[in-house]
Amino acid sequence: MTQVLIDSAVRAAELSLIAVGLSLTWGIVRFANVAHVQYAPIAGYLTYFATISLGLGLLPAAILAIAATGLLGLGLQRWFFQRLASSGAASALIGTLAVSIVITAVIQTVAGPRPRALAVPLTAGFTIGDAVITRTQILIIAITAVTLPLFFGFLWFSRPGRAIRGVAVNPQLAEASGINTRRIRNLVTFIAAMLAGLGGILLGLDTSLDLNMGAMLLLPVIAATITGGIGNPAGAVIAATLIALAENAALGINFGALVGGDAYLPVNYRPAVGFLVLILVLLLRPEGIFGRSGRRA
Amino acid sequence: MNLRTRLSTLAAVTTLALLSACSGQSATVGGSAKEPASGGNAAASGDTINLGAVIPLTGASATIGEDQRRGIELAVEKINANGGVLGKKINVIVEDSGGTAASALDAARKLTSANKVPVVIGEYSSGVTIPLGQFLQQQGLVHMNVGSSSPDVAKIGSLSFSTIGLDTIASKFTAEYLHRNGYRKAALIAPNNAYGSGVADTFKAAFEGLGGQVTNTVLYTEGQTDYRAELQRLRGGSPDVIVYSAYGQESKVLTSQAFELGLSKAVPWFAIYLSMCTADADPRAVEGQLGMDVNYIGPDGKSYEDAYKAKYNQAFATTFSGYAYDAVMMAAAAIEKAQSTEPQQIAAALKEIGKNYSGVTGQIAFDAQNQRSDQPYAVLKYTGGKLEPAN
Repeated sequence: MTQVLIDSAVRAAELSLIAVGLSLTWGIVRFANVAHVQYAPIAGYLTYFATISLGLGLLPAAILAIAATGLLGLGLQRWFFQRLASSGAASALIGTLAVSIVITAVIQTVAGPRPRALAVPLTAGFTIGDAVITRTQILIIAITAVTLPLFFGFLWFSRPGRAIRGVAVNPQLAEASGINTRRIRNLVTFIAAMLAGLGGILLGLDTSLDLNMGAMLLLPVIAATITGGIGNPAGAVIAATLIALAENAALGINFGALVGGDAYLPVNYRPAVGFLVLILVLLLRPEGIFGRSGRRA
Repeated sequence: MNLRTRLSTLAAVTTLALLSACSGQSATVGGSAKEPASGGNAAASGDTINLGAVIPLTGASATIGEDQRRGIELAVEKINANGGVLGKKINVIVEDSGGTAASALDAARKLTSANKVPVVIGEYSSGVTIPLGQFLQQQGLVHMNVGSSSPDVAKIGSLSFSTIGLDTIASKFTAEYLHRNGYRKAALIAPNNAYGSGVADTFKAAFEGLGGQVTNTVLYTEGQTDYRAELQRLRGGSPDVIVYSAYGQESKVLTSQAFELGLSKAVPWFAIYLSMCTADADPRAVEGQLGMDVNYIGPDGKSYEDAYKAKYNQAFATTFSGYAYDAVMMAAAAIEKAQSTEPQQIAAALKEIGKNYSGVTGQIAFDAQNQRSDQPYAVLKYTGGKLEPAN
């Protein structure tokens, strides 16, 4: 049971960082940026190469990689996604999918198909009852626990944060009140890409860097975004936590009481849990658990 | 929620479904590396006899693929130094499988249609070797398996030969060793493919046949970056030994996470093909592990070991180069004996030679299905970054 909670907390931390950014940009630029999940492996691999090629320590390398990923997101937004958006949500979605596939191909060309590990010393984990948590996992939870409140503080209490929310709710009105919506969109893209990049680096520290990291994240992250209500980053965090709990509980529960003996769900079924949550939410409450219909008129 | 948002949500979900259906294949775009194994020019076939090889030069098993390439390279040098075959130089065109069946079949098509080779050596993972062998069998070409050990390899067909013993023999050896050393409850983790399920089935049969118990069998999905959930499953039923087999890079993740979870210390681990499991692993994560492996060399392999050390300036990287070496040597001998490069005649000659051949990996005798019928195994221990014989 403790193990389920620990695993869920780590997974929720990783998913949240990526999902909040997607939720925010989806709400503001009005289409699903599938390429958003690719900021995670990009930042991870940039960190890897900054440590290997530039000989940087892990922390400066990560900061550099996060900044670079933010700028890349900004560039993609300005020169690509913005133009796509005018062609309609469905075309824009397919366009970002194409970008996503190109990014994977570029990573494969540069880094090769083998998984890469960030240089973290191998240490035995800490035991809590019958559960284990590694030092890296504690770090991941701590960093997320600091980053997310900072992000929401900015979003809720700062002037640009209010402007962001204003643009999300009603862009025309925001424009009319003198908010530069274009600058706000760029700001949101920049922050979102950096958060996703941070999530990718943490995920890379916890496991390893892999070409398919983006593809593997896509489903749970989009599920969290939709479940939390599009354009509602706080909802995305709660939804990410729920999905993480559902994934780990489904694997951790012994269904033996129902069928006799020891009966666990095969581990390969984990991705299906995210799908199931998504389908249920779309059927029962298409605007998301925490979404308000009509909010984005 | 307006219509536009609904549409975009619908599109997003459809795309997701498509993506997750094909995400498993996205790593296949990879290698198309073409490196001739020896100095000869692949195209100049007038005074050269070309053979083919499809091995994993990239992907999770790249370390082993590179070692197989070395074995091939050493064999080619040896044959050519001794005057070649049928008065011609021999050359092996090495293609990268990237560790996936799709790329391996592309490579095999190229070897058969462009290079017109009579013999193809490969691959390493059974999940790749079997489709590769079946393709070659259909094309009427000789297939030489030098690294795969799934019992299903034996069913490929009359033109497929194995210079390495299959898992039926390996699992039986492992089960007997563990039982002899007092272990009675074993948990097993292996990849979810032809190789892994072959090992799981044959080990379970052999171990339970001796009166042991297999508490849990976990077949993991290849290519993941996180195996903690799988590893936690192994604790169930309190096994007194964990038997595992995993490919290089996957084994690195698996053993590191087992170390973090404290599972490496809690229960002794025993590797099936130890050198494969430790090739890329963090030395601390696999320190002290025991495992069985194919022998590096047989009694007559000393000169091969010396040649390997001289050329690559290190001890054997894995145990798998010798089987590739023996395969090239046997193929060359078969071509010489048949006085022909026609696949059917080479196969017939291989059967003759394979009645009793002294290879660097020991005596090679093919059974009725052209599979190596006996194989010397060793129990090794990983200590201080090296594999040493265990007593």
